[in-house]
Amino acid sequence: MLAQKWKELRAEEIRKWEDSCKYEDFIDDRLITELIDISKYPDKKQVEDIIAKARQNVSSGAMLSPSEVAVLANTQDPQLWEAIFETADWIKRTVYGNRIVLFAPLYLSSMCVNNCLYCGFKNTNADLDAQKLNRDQIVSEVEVLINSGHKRLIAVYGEHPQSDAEYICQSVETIYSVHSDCGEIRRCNINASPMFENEYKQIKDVGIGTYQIFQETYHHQTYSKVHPRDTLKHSYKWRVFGLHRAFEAGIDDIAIGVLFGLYDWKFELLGLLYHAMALEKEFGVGPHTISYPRLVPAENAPLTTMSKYLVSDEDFSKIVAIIRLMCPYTGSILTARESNPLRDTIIRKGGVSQMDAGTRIGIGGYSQMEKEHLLHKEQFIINDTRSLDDFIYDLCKEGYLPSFCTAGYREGRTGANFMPLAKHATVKNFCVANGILTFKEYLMDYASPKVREIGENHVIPNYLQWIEQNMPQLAVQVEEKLGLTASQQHDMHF
Amino acid sequence: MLSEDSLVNIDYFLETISQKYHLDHAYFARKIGKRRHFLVGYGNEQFIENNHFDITDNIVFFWQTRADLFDVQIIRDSLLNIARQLEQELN
Repeated sequence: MLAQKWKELRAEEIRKWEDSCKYEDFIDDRLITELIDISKYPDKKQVEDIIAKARQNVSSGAMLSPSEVAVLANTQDPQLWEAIFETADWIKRTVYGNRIVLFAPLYLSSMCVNNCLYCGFKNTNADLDAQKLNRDQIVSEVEVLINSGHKRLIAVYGEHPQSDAEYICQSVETIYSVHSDCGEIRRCNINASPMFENEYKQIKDVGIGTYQIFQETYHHQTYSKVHPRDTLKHSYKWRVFGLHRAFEAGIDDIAIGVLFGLYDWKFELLGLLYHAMALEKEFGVGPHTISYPRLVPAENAPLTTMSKYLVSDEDFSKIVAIIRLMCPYTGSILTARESNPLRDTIIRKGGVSQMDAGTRIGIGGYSQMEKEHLLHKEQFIINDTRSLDDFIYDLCKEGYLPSFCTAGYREGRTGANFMPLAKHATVKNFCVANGILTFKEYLMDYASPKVREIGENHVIPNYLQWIEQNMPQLAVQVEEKLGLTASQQHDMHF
Repeated sequence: MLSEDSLVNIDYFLETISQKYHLDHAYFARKIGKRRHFLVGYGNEQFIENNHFDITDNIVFFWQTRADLFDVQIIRDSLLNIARQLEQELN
């Protein structure tokens, strides 16, 4: 079917859905703006109380209120900011332990019927070499990723009839079918456009991890401006309730995000919070992860450098830290859009829990690693270009436990069975145990000598000691599985 | 999605089974590729190794216990009917 016809038919179906939508829009622009305005000059005691409350919330999983987040966002005092950064790091370590889960994005298609002003994949970008991967190309890409050590992917798709729900299902099945030596992809998350319930059901049935939809901006007027009329993405309501529909279709691991730089970052923070609250209210399960990509230059997308809301590095650090305080149980994803030094700083200051590494975002980019970055095939520019192994080495030097854990969703710890673990800050017991086992597997199969040395002699002993001190019974089982991993048995996990 | 009635019934059933066989945590999950999609459970996470078995083509039963090993086959037999009912409802 021609893309234009497909788009028209789909737009008609979306309009019908909007007319019968049972949900009330949970984003009140005026209220959010007022909350930010009335807390313009917070006093020190007020901020300190909120920081203390954020610490208490760790064991209950409660979120901060919108007015409290507005206060944090308006805080100016550098000393208070130090306290916020320190708290973000403490919350992350308390909930998830000191591990960083590693993943890679895999761009499957750049064909898109939309025309978003900030995106290199927009329909009117004449310089874009729009394409989608066929089965053989997917296999080649996944082999490269597996052979570098990856176990977890996020598969990214443009909105186009060539990359519809059926293509998503086929490509995920292909990804899971690839085995290279002793490696495989064990968890495939999805970043794709909002779907209808029947499409979500199809996608759910191929065994995906998390379904991720970024609202891009929660500010209605800005949303309309950057997503032109006559495109599918123009409908705010369709997108903002995209994850509600996913949940109704039985997908219970869902992820939200904002593209910072389109509108005032303080407003967007509150938008994320209201979205998390709406999901919790409706389904009792909040977002599995929150992502906070920032506008970076993209080919033929001038908005990416000219927006008046571009976020400075300093403010970006604040955003990441506030997200950690406001929603303590949620995974926090910092991507390779950001530069090495900034990422290295924000991991700690922001309480980050997941990061991509060795990233290529061009279609077919992993199979053509030697060509470095392929701008005419990319959605935006990557700033952290370290290899996975170099990235892991840097994490080890800082004392982190690099983790390739994908155990949770394979052990039935999904949705309502996962949330209490994160909300009561006990999930770290599994995180550290599975982090040790999967890192050991990496050391055995893929690591360079320098990573193997620091991993075997420092990182693994340190975290084994942590488990022995905190979960002695689990430690015995970890030691047993570690022994099995050392004798080349794979996929040991809890 | 399971109906509220089913959830209540299965919850009660799991509670009974757990008490009888000293299971600290017991739950059903649906097999979807690699994913084991949580359906309904009883008890609390113990942070010890999960045991599991497939009861039907699509339903897995996970459990954790600190008690001595028991006859798994007996549990499997006790769960079969309810697992079939679960599977039927999900289909």
